[in-house]
Amino acid sequence: MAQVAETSFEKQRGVSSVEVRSGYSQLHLEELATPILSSRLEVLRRMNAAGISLDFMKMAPDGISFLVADGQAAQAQQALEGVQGKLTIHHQCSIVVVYAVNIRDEEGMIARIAQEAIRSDVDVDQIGDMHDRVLLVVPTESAQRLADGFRKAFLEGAYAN
Amino acid sequence: MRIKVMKFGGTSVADAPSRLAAAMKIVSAKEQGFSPVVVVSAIGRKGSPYATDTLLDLLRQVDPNVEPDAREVDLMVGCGEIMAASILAHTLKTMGHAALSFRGGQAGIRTDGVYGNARITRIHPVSIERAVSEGKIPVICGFQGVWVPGDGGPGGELTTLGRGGSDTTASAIGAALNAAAVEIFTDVDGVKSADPNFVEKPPTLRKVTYDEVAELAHLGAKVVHPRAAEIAMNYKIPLWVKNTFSDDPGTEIVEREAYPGSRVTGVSHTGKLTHLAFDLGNCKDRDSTSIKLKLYDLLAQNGINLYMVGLNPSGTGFAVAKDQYALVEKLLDGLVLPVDGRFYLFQIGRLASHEVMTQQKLLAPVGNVETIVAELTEGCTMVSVIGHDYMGQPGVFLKLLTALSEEQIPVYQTSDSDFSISCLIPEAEMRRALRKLHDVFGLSVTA
Repeated sequence: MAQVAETSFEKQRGVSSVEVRSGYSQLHLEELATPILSSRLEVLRRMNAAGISLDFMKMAPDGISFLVADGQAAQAQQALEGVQGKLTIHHQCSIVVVYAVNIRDEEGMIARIAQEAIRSDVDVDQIGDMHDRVLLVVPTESAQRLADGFRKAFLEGAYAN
Repeated sequence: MRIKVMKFGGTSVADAPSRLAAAMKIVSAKEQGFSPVVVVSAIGRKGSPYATDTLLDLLRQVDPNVEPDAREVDLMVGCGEIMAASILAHTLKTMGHAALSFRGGQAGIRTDGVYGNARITRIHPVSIERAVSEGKIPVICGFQGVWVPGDGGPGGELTTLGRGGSDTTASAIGAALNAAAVEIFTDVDGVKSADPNFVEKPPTLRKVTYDEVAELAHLGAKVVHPRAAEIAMNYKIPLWVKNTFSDDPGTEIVEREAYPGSRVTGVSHTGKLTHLAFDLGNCKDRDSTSIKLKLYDLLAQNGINLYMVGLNPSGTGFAVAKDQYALVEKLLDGLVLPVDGRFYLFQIGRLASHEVMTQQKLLAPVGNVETIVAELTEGCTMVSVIGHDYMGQPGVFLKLLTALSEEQIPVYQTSDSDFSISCLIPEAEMRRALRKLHDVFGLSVTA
């Protein structure tokens, strides 16, 4: 039998790392025609026809917003020509990713991340999560500041392991 | 000697016929040349006489108004696995196979000192190795370990591992023993593309990655816990989910690199959720930030788990599980936050509760009070589509929203990540939504 020494197992709980992904543009469509559901689907149909991938879709009462790769923003704008409504494009968006193993099982963890995001005074446009991370869409100019704030709070500061 | 760790869940040890079926699987592994090391959960599921919840109720019934200490809870619920291990070991003995039951601590499982949610820190499995080398079948209590405090108290303290505890025990023991495989036995054939209670005959997935199974588990399909999958992946131990009561080959859980490609894995759903949306449009800008900070601090301090968090300059919103909503309501309804000489009073829902009206009366002489009304959407659930290298493809959102639109199912909000897209919908529509999404994403033919 293989010699087995005492072994460490589970990862430390809590935030383990923070990263910034850049190179996105956010498209906001407001004042879409009613019925709003049909208009949203029309927007998505046009994106699909243009072969554009989207992430972080968010529905607003009178519109829809989503993220595309910076390189596809112009193409997306072109594809949306003629859609009744107001289109705003925020270039230079980033995603700040906060990693923490089994994050949804860690009581209060997502609330704490939201609190730190608010404290950093960065405009967070969207928040998503999966089993080991929370993803926040923010302007690129603020992304590093937000990431540093998270590192300070969760890796060095009050909530560090 | 090739060790195979075989973990049996509550239904697999629930009664004598089930334990016999489990024992037959163990004997079969032995006959195939493996040295089986068995891990068990407590007997039966919720409502069964020796299930974890039943044992916990014994403590709670002493006085429902007094919460038992976490240490006492751990000692009590740990009995469930001890009974299961002992009775399965004896079942094996009656079949002519020497077996020894072990508590978590006896198996060498050491944890940190967090009662009820301990983390395995190390395993020193000398007693298990000895049993195996003597040709005996170790039957280990899942879900528990021992914390040895710094002062080295005799025997240490029994701790339990929290969610996914027995699965985690199995993977960790597998890693410590350098096992050839870890098999999680349950009462379904493996990881399914949907919950069979809601979608008719969903196929069993033959292979999934750790990320996919973790997403499925966190979004409702709790066949194997991500903690167990994570350990197995880190130590490169093959991990399987199989059925105690059938010969189906089951589902293999592999590393991301071992199963590349773009695919939809499954549809899943959470339990009942309640969504709260706070309109802070009438608050001063700086006050709005202070209010949100205090709000989320309060939620974090009280261990509330949030879904679909939304932050914007004029408000914020989130969903909470129904079983946590009562606490959220208790925390927030009637809460008064003083900010820069002004008072903000929280009201949950359109109708002011007794607490809110009391606060209004108390604050009336002070003046300068703004009421923040949280719009409440009860009876929601979250349905999710989970996939691998798929969510970024053009047309996924369109397919999803079109499908729900065709069924006239309202979507309150969406949320997405690298591996999943989730929609908040009325709970009453959950079954129809799951069936439709399972169908349009072609999951019925994934075998």
